[in-house]
Amino acid sequence: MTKSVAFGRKLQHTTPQDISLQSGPPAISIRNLGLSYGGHKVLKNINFEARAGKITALVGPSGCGKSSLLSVVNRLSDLQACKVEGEVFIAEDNILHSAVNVLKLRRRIGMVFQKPSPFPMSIRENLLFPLREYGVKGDQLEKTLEDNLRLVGLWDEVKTRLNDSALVLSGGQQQRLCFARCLSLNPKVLLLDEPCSALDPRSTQIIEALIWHLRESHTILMVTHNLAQARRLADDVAVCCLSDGVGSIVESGKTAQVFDFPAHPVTAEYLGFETAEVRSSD
Amino acid sequence: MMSKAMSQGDRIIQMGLCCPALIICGVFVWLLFDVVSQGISGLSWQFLTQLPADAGRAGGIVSIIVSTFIVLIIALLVALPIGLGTAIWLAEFADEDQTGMAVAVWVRRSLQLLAGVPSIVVGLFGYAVFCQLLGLGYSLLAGGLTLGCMILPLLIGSLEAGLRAVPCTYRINAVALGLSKFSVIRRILLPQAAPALLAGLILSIGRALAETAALLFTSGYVTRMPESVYDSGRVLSVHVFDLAMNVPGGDKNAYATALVLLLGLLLINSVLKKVVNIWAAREN
Ligand SMILES: Nc1ncnc2c1ncn2[C@@H]1O[C@H](COP(=O)(O)OP(=O)(O)OP(=O)(O)O)[C@@H](O)[C@H]1O
Ligand SMILES: [Mg+2]
Repeated sequence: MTKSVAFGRKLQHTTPQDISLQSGPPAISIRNLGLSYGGHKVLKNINFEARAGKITALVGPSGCGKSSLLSVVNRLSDLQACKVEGEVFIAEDNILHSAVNVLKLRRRIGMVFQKPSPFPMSIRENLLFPLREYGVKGDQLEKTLEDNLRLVGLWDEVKTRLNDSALVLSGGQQQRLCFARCLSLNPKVLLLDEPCSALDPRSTQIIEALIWHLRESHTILMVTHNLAQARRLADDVAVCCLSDGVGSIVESGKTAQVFDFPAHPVTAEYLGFETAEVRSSD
Repeated sequence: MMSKAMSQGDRIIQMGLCCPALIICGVFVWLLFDVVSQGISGLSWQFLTQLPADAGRAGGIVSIIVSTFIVLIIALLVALPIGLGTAIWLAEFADEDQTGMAVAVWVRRSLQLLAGVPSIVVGLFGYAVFCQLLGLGYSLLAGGLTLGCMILPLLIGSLEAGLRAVPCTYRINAVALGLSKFSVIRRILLPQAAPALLAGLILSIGRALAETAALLFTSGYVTRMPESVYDSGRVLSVHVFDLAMNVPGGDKNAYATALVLLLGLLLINSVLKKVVNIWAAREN
């Protein structure tokens, strides 16, 4: 799955109408990415790779542009009045290319947002509505519903009230529902924006176990403020920091490497306090 | 209502604001009392099922009810699809590119203008275009089409506002899931905007049923039972106007007709509420 930069460059000139469908999870490679909202620069010079079938944690202080960075990977940035420059390769395709079929792209990429946001429908329909759109039919629908609700540990809590509105669920339940909704559609890439920030310790445990279980079959890019969690789960870590009000990746690499031997003073400062805390609580 | 925690000043303001609210109630009750008390004596089964006689002084209003119904249905059949389409385009698609935004500016300007045009002028326009240019003559069809033009701004305004009030997170989530825009509009946005659509419909129907001026010279004022949409026909509001202004001794039936108009409006509104609620609930 490793590929050289030159290889990617060459392919950039082909026009990827559809993102190639392949069995394994793809690697994500972000190169010289910059992003600005109406002239206000938020990200610059972003370079890092999320390896195929691995968990990459994206950490950094609030407001440094982590959510914005995630939104570029599934072209959700298209909806915002923002300007994106640089390249984002998923497998061999530059998904920022204007010829990319974004609907297909987004169907390969699952996203769980920072704020839980189920649709204003029943719990059942929250999963079945997207599934039907993807062409799932008949018995398969109910089976997928149950499987995925079990996966996020929600089945026992909601099985007797599947037809109730999803909006009456608690914040944590809503978040797990969104997780189930995302997983039910079988994405190969997962973009998780602080998926556990609304969860209690037990649900967090369930979701962390799930994320761990999804590794190998998915490429996972996860934003988290919980450094202990990043350390527990992530294969790689990318540290995003603000300098002069613009976010950039100051360091990225294997989790143990970044946490134990941070090469950059900013990383050391950001991780230092938390690392000490993690150690003391372990 | 008055809590202990309220200051003296707040209490005075509260009472001051309550007065106009009560005046509104008063006006409504007075109006209702006036129409009901004067109209109820003329209301009977015969009144609803017989044709008018003696210029409306005697007989009933069945042909008038039928004409009104036909004109209203035509107006809605025209305005609803156009209104829904325009509102959805304005709220969900127009902002996507430069051309769309430029077109939307002009669409909005036209709608504002249309909403502000006095109904008598819309009537003149309807007469010139539908009756003469399209050769429909004085007909229920011409009247319905004219009314349709008149209620478009109301329908579009309320539906667009309703769509825009739906939280953006639903759209963003749907896009992230790779759902098509069409199904998101159908399954999420329209059901969420249903109350606004309902409010717009009720306003529009009220406006349409009340319209007299524009219909006088588009759908006409013969009291015959219409045989097709190309026939001329008289609607309830025109009948009330004619009885009250042109027919000595027509007052009693004018009030009875006004009462029918009022009851019809209430009936349509409650049926609509049911229908929209059922539809919105089914989508969930
Ligand atoms: N739609 C937008 N329009 C304008 N500015 C935006 C928009 N979205 C985000 N920003 C700005 O971009 C910067 C980065 O925001 P972003 O949400 O990506 O940060 P974040 O790293 O995810 O923060 P947090 O950890 O608090 O979630 C912030 O300064 C924010 O104000
Ligand atoms: Mg964020």
